[in-house]
Amino acid sequence: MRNIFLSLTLIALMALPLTSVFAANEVAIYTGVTQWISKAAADEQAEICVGMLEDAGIAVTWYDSDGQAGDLADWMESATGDDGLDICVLYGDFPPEIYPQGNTQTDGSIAETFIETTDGDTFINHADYMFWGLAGRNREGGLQNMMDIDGIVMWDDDTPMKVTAEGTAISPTLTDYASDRPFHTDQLDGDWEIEVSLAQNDDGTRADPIIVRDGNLGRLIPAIQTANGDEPKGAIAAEIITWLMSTTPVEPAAKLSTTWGALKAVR
Amino acid sequence: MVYVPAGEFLMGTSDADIEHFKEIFPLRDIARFDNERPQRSVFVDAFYIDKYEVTNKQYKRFLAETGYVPKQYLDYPPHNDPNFPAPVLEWEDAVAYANWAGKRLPTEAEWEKAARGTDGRHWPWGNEWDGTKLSGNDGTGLKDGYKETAPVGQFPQGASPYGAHDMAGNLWEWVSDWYDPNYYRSSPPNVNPKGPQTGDGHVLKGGGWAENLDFTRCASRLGGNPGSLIRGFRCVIDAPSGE
Repeated sequence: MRNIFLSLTLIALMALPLTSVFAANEVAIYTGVTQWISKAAADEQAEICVGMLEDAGIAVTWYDSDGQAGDLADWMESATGDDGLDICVLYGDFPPEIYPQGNTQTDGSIAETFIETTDGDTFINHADYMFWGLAGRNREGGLQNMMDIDGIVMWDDDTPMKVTAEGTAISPTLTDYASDRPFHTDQLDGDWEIEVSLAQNDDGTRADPIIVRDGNLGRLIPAIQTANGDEPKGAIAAEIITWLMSTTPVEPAAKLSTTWGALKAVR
Repeated sequence: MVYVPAGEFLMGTSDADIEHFKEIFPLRDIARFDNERPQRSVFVDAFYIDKYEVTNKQYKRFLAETGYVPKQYLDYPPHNDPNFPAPVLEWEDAVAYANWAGKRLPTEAEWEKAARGTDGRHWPWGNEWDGTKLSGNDGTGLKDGYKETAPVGQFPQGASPYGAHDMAGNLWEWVSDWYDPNYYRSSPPNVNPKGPQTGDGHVLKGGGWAENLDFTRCASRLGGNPGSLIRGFRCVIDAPSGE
């Protein structure tokens, strides 16, 4: 079964240049403000990520100063609903320019709108708690409002993560480690479902990295959420993005369902 | 408050500890413990330290009497129960309380001695992890009885050798020292060290309710951007000379 999975991935990767051209898939990386990772370390990882994505022919824009959060917001608005798979990579902060601080806009923020179209647009978050925000701007409410799931949290420091077969295939760089803010799969609700769990604990209730999707809408990918850990976040993100975009079709609905159907068949 | 006598104790993490940590925390990158090394013998004068973390009841009395406006104080449920430790996210807001109370924040050395005694133990109760002895990582509340923060003093079995409660878990605690990850390697003073002259934020000790294993060790230290860590504090006073 693993061979089938690898074959699918290989075929998808071979198709990457073509799909990239037609689907206008884009990546934005923001390191203007970081949390649980120094800005220098985040920039280092972002540089690795940018290099790997460019090598794969994926368009990427890196916003590396806090003064560019407005530019990120502009990018996000233009990318929303453009029929391309667009991915925003954050390093532990959630800029108020895309999600007003203190949960003052619980619905309809630029960030939430970004993940509420059938483009499948995606947030990847490294280091601290996804959508927590610098100095606890949003606390648990950030994630809960973005997912519209009351009570979902990302506590559980030191949770052992073992890489799954899918995780190894998608991200060869990923190794077993301990996550400080794993995703709680047992708190998924509504249309949210697991697409791929790349690393998880023994009973699968905690996972990181994991790709979760809101029905046929957007995705969230917590990826290596650790406190001051020196894991290769940039490479892992690039591998996940490359794989995810390689499965994104010119005509999203048909090819995507086929690909995911095949993936689920081997899980 | 509880009394901590003058004398030496083992501060930081030794090479032998690291070997033990490889067994306890097999997935942790050992580099994570670099800021606690090398271990050294440190002398601190006698002092008294709060038996419990400063509570919301105490902190709100300070706010009411002074009109002080904290930068970040989580005055909402579930954190603001009167008997819960006060979630004071900014170091300056902790210092303001301590000054009002006629006390001060402990130095990192004082805090660590109060937590682990003189024998270099990993946790206040000993060298083995025990999730029933602290308000620790337990999103369900099934392990320690509390989903998030616990009222102070609920884990007497996890008290330190000097009788201080909740030195592991519940809320991270501010100390007075600036944070420099390389400070221990800079041959700092071995008598009443007060930390570097400046640094990347201030040191946090003891782990919190969202953490379980390695962060709750007495030697664990974090600085810089504390992110989603919920912070509180306790205070100390100097013991009269001669004690």
